Amino acid sequence: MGRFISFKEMDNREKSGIISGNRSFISLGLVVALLSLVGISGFNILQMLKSRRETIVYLMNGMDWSSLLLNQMARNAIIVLLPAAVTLVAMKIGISLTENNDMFLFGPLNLVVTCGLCAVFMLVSLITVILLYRDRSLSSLMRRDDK
Amino acid sequence: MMSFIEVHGLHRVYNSNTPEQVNALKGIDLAIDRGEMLAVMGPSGSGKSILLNILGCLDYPKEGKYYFDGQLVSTLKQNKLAQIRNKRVGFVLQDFGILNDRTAIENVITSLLFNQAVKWRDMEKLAHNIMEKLEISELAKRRTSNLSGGEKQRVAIARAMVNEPDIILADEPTGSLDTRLSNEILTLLQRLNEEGKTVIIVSHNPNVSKYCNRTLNIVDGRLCS
Repeated sequence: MGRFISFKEMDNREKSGIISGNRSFISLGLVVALLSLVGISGFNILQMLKSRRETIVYLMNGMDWSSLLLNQMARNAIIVLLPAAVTLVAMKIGISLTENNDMFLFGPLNLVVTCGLCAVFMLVSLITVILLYRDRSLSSLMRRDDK
Repeated sequence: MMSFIEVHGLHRVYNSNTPEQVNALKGIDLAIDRGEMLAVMGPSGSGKSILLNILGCLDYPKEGKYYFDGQLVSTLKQNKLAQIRNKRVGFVLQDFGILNDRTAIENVITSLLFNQAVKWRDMEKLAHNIMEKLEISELAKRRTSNLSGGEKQRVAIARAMVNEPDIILADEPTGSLDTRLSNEILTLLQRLNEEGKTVIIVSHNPNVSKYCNRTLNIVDGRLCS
């Protein structure tokens, strides 16, 4: 499904007029990554508030922090990678129907965005667990939830 | 010979090096033998719950040494601490700490989920056994949101006991209960102690100390007899 092209090749293609607006695409990629950061962070914080009691009960009963971290990462990975995969398939189908189907797919922009998203979900997962770890007084967490 | 639990010079500081620094524990020395039933009494904010969290391997001291059954806890990795919480410590909390969207037996099974020595097919049976022992087997299929405070606390005790821990740490276990139910719960903890479990109860309810072999007072992060 698609192929990789380098930034250099992308530049060459821009010079030869095959594709244009690389900088705009990359800027767009950064915006997407930032929006993802906001979205994933927001989702994680809301989830943490919702399931904090459950998480604390699990930790109290013997779940270890690394399992919690893996759990968070796996969940975020599904949230990010599943829609991304669907989008890629849709893009592939869409591009194959256009006249200029030599446009990049899995090109540098995609790589930047994908790596950015992966970094974002790992970072957010880590931060979520660290926040919980720092505020892990059982009683206070439980009581706050009960109000 | 070393006691089952030994604590030397335990300090716990929150928000260190900030204007909001709180010295929650200020040099606690403590030794608890197997089979003891100990009450730790003190007013709110005296540090008793923090001490219990440290004893339960949920929190860690800033200074001092904590030996759990001869093991220096600060040298243990997180997964080992999780194993201790799962197999050797049972927690009972003031607000019961149970999941209200599940049945009583599902709550009891929660503790078994993290015990790798227990097979999936045995979990329900083990949970039933402990509920039967605590005379709450009729609650098994009921949602915990529909249970009374006393019933919830019994379910919490069943969950704390299902992995047959050595020690039960109870943080204000009667705090949300009336006098009659409080006495029932304390009697139940006393019964478990008589069966060999070490029980530590943190409370500001003076009635608790009547059920215990020994009472310690904690004030402003310091133990005083």
